[in-house]
Amino acid sequence: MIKALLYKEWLKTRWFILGATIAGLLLQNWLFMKTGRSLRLVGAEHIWDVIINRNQFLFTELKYLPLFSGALMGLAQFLPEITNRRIKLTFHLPLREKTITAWMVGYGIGVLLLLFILQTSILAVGMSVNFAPEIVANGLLTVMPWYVGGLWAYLACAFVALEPTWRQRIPNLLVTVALLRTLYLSDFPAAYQKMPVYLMALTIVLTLWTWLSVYRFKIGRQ
Amino acid sequence: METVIECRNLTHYYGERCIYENLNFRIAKGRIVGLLGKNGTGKTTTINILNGYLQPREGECLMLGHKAGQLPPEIKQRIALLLEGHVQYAFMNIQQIERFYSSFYPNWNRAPYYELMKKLKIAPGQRISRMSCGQRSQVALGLILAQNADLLILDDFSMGLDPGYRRLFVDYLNEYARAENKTVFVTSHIIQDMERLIDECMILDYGQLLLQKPIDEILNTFKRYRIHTEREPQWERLSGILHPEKIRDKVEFYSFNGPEQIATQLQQQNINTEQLKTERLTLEEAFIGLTGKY
Repeated sequence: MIKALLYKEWLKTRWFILGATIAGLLLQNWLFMKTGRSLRLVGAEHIWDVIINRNQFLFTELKYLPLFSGALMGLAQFLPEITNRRIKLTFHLPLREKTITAWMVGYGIGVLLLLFILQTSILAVGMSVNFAPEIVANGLLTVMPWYVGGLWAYLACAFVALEPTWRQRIPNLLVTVALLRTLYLSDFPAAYQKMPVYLMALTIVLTLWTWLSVYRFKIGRQ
Repeated sequence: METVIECRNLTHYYGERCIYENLNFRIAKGRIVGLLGKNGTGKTTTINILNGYLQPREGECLMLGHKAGQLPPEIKQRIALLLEGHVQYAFMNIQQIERFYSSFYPNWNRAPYYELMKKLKIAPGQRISRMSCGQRSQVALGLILAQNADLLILDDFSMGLDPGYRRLFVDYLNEYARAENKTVFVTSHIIQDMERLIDECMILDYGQLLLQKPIDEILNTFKRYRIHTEREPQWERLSGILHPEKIRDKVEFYSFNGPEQIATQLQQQNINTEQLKTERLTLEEAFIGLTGKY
């Protein structure tokens, strides 16, 4: 049954997964080409100086890629469910509602994690060709909140989409947008390096919020 | 006889608006029961309560002996559900959706599903979203038949269907349910064709259940009466008369009372009953007679 449930999620999201993977690869390829060109034109010393002394991050174009990936994944997965209240069919499947929700959200987070791990691995490998391990580690710490933002955007979509009433959807949306905003307050490299516990705790809270929307759906809030 | 669905003292409001109060009904195993009512009388509300998508303000429903809203997975496997508008996973094609559902139901039988799909003459890879409403209804029906459930719940199955597809749906469902001794609970606000399907009828009016009776009993006992008279009868003095109407000298009303009883009551008001006409009704006419035109 779980396999069939995941099959349904795959059917809904396969084009998104393909598109997001290609978009990520193209963007990263372009960033590496741009960095390579800069290294050749202005020299490695200058680029290193910019990174170390002027605290610049060379891959800021990646900033909103995870956010859009997470949001689009959420829409691809949950829009078909709320269209015509199709979610009723899903909750009529012979599984407990909590099990269904957990597997659906788990699938989305799993796909995004794979996608994000692929992107950050390519980033780490690509950076390590030209930069010292300390700069690579700093770069990964810089992108960390952006990728957490991708997961939060996905969970926010699930939370807002599964909520049965528009009246409640709007405050839900505002709260989640405000939360997401906190991840994009600073472009300073590794600005969020001391906050992984806070980020992880809020990721868990957002995951649980999804169940709140399902609960409200179950009791028939209209 | 074993009870499959039971609702006790069901009360529900949307805000201040009362949908119904103290609704009680039972559906026995093997019966095909139609819940009929005008728009907004609470048919879909009842389906939502039964399937656990809505908590009633008061009262409770049991399905196959389990409280609605808390059905364990093994009970859900025995209940097939058709949502209003034949909603299905429109992003799947007919093969994908069959493959998807077959994993959930141990008694799955794909033969009736593909038999119906053959009639549609559609490509196996065609997505449900690209089908007509009639074709989608057949996909939804095929899936219900394949599930081989003990209880079938169909919410407004006739909505959006042309007469041909409606008849196909009714005939298929009727034959299947009777041959396999399935219990069917169906709602509709289109009464045409329901006579061919249901053996028991529940009629909801605003705020209450008007009646629950076998179809034959309704059609044999509930009549329309017409009479030509200049004088309008004093309706408040007549018992068991429903929705009387006088247009010029024509008086029309409905009643479960027999012609003799009606004639006696009218004669007591000095109304000549020589031309009193008694008419046998179709289910649709009986529905209008019970709920009124407005």
